[in-house]
Amino acid sequence: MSHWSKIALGVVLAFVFVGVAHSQDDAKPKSKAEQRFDGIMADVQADMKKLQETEKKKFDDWTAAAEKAKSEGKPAPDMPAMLMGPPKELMAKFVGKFEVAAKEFAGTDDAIKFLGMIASMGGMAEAKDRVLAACKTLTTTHIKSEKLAEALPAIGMTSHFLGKEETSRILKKVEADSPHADVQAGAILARVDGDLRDADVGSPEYLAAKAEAKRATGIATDPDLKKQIQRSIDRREKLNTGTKADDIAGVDLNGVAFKLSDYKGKIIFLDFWGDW
Amino acid sequence: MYPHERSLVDEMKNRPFALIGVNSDDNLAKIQKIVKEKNINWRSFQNQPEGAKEAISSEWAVSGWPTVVVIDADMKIVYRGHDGNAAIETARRLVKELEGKK
Repeated sequence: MSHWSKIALGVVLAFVFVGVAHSQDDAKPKSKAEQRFDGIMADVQADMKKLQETEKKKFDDWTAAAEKAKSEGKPAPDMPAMLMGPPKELMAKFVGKFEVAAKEFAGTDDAIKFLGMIASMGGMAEAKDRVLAACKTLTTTHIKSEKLAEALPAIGMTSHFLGKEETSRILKKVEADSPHADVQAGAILARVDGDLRDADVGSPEYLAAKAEAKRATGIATDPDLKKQIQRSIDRREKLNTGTKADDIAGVDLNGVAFKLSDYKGKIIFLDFWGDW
Repeated sequence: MYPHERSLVDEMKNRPFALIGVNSDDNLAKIQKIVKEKNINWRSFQNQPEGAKEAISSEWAVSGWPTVVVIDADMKIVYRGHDGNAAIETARRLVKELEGKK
């Protein structure tokens, strides 16, 4: 259990780190909004790191106690309760920081990034009203902006707690009201991405999502976006259950080259893992 | 930290089974240390070794961790998902079937 729950926390951390890494990519001098964003992310990262260390210590202490008990022939102590993700109070604090920044840059394209973060973090804070408010600002004040495309995946993610219907309604509004083809296409993709990724290939949900994604490739003008949508369809069908696995040619953790097909003839348990 | 995988590898010793990881840590030195410290007894690909254009997880459209893909002896995908226990049960069943054929 703890292994999977640690990963759950890890996923959140990875997500936070991606945000930071991304904002550090640019070599050119940073705008005021970017600096503000980086500042908040650094605070978030520090809080998350502290939390992760506490959790890790809890687990390591238990492991040590269990091993000691085992060597003494005593029953192992019960495993401590592990966090399945950051506590909602902490997430609410992060959401609050992004809300303050969104206000500072209100009405400008710079606000979009902060509003997007409210949408993507608000679910874990169980802050439904605040997420809805951020989505509303995005789909009214910023509806004519091309930069709205950046916040669409975050809006798509809200379906986990707003419900598919509510999120679909928001994204359909973006598709209808945005004057930019790539924002429209992005809104379609954000709306169907979950089903495209998680629904069983061949199920009605999957087929509907695929038809919508295909329509989005027709609307998109950015070749990269077109390619991205097409690839998310192709890959899913290629690597679904019942299909043949692609070979992997790579290197192991010692730098030695090997292939997945080296193990052909055995049952292979391919485990995508990380130590977070 | 990795009791599930480790005990599966032990259970499947000398049987037609291979647990192959795709490790997505970007600090290679750190993960090599963890492999030693935590007795990680299976081989892993580096998800995106230096110079690689695309990560394996991206090629395989993996978007959540952990993801497990169970592949049969003919390289056909039998299970793909996030449920570690379901994946282990699938692998156990397939290994048994494969042993029965021999």
